[in-house]
Amino acid sequence: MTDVLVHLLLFLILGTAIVTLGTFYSDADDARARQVWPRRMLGFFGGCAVLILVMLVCEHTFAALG
Amino acid sequence: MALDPKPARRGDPNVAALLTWFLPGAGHAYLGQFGLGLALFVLVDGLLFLGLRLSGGMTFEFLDPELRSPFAPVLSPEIGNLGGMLWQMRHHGFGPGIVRPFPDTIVFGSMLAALSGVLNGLAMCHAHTLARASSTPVAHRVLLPTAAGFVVPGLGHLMQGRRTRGIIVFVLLMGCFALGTLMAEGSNLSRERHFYYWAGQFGIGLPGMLAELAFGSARVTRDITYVDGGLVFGCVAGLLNLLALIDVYGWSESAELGLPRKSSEPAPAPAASKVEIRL
Repeated sequence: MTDVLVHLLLFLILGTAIVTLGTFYSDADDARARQVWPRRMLGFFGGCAVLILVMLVCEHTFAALG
Repeated sequence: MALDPKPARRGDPNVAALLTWFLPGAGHAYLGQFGLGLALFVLVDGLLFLGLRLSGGMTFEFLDPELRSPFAPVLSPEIGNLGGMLWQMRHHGFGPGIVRPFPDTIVFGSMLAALSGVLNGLAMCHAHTLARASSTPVAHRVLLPTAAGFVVPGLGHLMQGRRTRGIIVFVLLMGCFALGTLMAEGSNLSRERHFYYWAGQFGIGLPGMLAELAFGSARVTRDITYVDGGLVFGCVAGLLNLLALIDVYGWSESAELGLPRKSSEPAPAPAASKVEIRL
């Protein structure tokens, strides 16, 4: 369980770095970038959460062994 | 900052950049800057050949035999100096096909060869700007912060007066690089062990080079639990710094050449014209 939490934490750190740099790259204006940053973070991590759910459902439905 | 009201084109910017890619300084010579072109040729190819001498031309022998193909070195920083890389491939390539010891100075030599690729990339940007700028100092002013961003991530933004952005870039990228190095216990700093991850990580610039010189040759004597995570963190930090460098270059280019700045919002529609057209 600890290993899963560590991986989740590492993913959150790297995801934050990527989304933040991507946001600031998209907008030359700092104020505008700061304004859209929460929405982009939500979009990225929300999208990842949905993807995880879909993969878990697929795994449970199609790939369960034993 | 002085705006360039009517940028005079000295030549085709794409031709200038492509010429520089094949032969450092050729783009500047094409634009009439022979002295600068010669200086760039000596600097960039001088670094490459010094690097080849110190490494014995064995850098691409770091690659595992199954990875060796004519396109294998494309994903390395040396690709920034295409002519030099082709020369290196032709004269050294992947070696004679037998296992032989690497020279003691291969880490430094390999780093210098990679650096020549990055410097030539910057020279390409300079040539591209110079073709559109009214004077050489304008092109210098565009390139200087970009080069500074390679020396220290975020420094280019600070030089442009974008303090918040510079601090964010520095903290995030240096944090990711440091965390990656800790997780990989320094093994991410070795080009011999992780050729392609190292190539991405090289974008972090001078901090990565200094860390490699200090800790890059440490022995690995056991399994490293989070080595994969560490490699990803280091590589992503380097690649994101390249994105930050493009941002710095774009900002300087807009400021000096009077180009529109990038925004995720669409530009406002032009006001309706009141000019009547009579047929």
